[in-house]
Amino acid sequence: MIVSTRHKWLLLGIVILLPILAWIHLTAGIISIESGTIFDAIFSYDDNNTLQVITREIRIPRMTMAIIAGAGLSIAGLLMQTLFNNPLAGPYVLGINSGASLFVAFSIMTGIPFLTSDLGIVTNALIGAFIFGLIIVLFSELIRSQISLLLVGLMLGSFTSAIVSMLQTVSGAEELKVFTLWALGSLMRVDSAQLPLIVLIFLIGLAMTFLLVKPLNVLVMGQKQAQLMGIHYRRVRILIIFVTALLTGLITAFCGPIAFVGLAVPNLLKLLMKTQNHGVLLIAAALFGAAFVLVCDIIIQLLENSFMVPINVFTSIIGAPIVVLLVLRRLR
Amino acid sequence: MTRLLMVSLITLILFGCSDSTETISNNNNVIEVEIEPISIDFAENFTLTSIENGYELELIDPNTQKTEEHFVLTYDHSVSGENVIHLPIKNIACLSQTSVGMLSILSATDYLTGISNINYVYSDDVKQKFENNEIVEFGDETNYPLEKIIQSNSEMILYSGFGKNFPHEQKLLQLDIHPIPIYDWREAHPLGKAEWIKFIGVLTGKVEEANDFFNEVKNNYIDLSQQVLTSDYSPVVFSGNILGDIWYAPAGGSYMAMLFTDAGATYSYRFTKGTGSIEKSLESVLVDNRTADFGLNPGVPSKSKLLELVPQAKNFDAFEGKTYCYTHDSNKFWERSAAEPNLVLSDLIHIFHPEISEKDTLDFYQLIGE
Repeated sequence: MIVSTRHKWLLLGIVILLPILAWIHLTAGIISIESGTIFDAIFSYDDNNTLQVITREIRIPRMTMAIIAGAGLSIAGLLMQTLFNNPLAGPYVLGINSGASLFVAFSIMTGIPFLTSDLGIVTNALIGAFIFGLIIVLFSELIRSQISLLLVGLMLGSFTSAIVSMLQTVSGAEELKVFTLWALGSLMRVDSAQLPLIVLIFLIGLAMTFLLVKPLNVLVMGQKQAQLMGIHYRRVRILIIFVTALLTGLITAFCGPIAFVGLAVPNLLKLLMKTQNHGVLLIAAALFGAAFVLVCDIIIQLLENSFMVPINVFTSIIGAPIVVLLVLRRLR
Repeated sequence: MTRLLMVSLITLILFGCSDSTETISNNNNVIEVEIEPISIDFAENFTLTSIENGYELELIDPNTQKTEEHFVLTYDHSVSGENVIHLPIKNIACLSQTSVGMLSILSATDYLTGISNINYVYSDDVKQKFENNEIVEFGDETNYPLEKIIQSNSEMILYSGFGKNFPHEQKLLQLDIHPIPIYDWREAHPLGKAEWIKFIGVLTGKVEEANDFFNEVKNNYIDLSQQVLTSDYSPVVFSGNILGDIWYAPAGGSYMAMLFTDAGATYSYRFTKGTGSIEKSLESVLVDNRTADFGLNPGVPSKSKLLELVPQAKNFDAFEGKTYCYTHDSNKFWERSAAEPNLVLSDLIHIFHPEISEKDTLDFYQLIGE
């Protein structure tokens, strides 16, 4: 993979910036936590020390989830944009989040023990995201217009909302409460015991993503060109949908729906990097996406003394204007 | 303001200043009822003043402490006007569960014509009436369908006041259906909430029963809170649950905080201001309450459900065997606890001070299960 000097410097900059942001994230917040406490919480944990408990059970999982959510959703967005050759595509807009949400709603509201376990919810979110991804692929075969495909995604979202509303009317009060809270989106619904499973699934998704670099670079030239160059288009398409579903499903299962990250970050990156090399773009999407959500959550932490904002609300406040700007830019 | 003056003027002209306890004469338009005087001692969000043939009702906006609405509740059916309501009301829709509970206590569920959602009802009697199609379910509380309200034949709709007009209010008034906001949920004193039963008593012509019931509740509540003063032990208690990363806990001046204090506990946020709830981050709550003796009202009936909502809950000392909630039967709590705060108080005393409690079983609360 050939990487330009400019890209090397940009990637190096974000590689240096990311641990700094992660450290700021760990130390920001209403409760003041010293760096010594953070090291103790990691290397010599004492569960009688409340500050160490906060660090280990709240801040480290929250920081890790910010990185995973930012990186995962940005990569998923980039994959969707390349697959559909549409800069306004993303897991949220195309309804892939909605698929995960619908299946999580099923798993929570049925109250069946396996389905409400961590593994049950992840599995369901993945299945839902994958099925909705396939539906979008099917429609992309039938519809040539990029805008129409986005409308199909929005309709899938509305359809899902309607089904979820119907489920809510028949579900028990406790299940309804758990689902409502999940739907608000949060980076704090994970503790240290759940992290290994989440990190493992994320790393599998990440590894699979980088196996797709070559086909993605060819796909930029269009489906026909890709097939002429020996790319097994249908197989690649299924693989892309699967990886997108894996990442989106994982994040949706544990953090709830987080809007606009998958749409805004890849587009900003393309403006910044000015390349179609997916080797560079995927690494940059992972790093910049993680940095984006970390920064959003640091601001939320700093504001906590005055008022508290859920992460989903904050990413929407920042992401929605970016999307509007992109649309205006395209219309010009 | 003009409306208020007009209603007052009508009241003065029509009723004069006669003795409210007299038995009024019977004629074609006046129902003969002895008007019992009513004193409101704890509730701050309404007043009832006895007048000839009925009562004047003032509903007070809890935010501004000013009169929000003013009604003349009268047995004289010859009087009419926008703010005149004829007693007794025989067809009432209760969209707040506390009002349904108060109707049940006064054995007046025969008057109940509409509810918001049958899934939130505790009373077997009301459920049975719903099964028999005697009660209409209004459904979606964000926009109650006009057709269902009309179908219910309700004369009055009691709903939880949030400072907004009731949907279709003007049309309903044209149809002589009065939507009345209820602010019992904003009362800071537990006995203030319970005192709203007197208002329900006036509407249903069961003033004496309502007064007797309230006095019994009040005396029992005061006895219980005196009883707990004999104990030197005051366990530290925290309460509330999380909603979208925000922990909502009862404010220091709230109904729940007062119950904790009256039950002989030290509520961790007792010094915070307000009568509603306060917002805290999970980190703050953990720092402030990690070693608290009891956790109350997490909003779920089991540890597993609590961990689904807040995985970090296991780090509170109270998580193991010291967390209580009413959510194993939320409907019962919401329907009955407002009118019977003495039972809530006795539950809390049993939890905090089992050595002085005379109770064998809890009425509302339960240790959260696995």
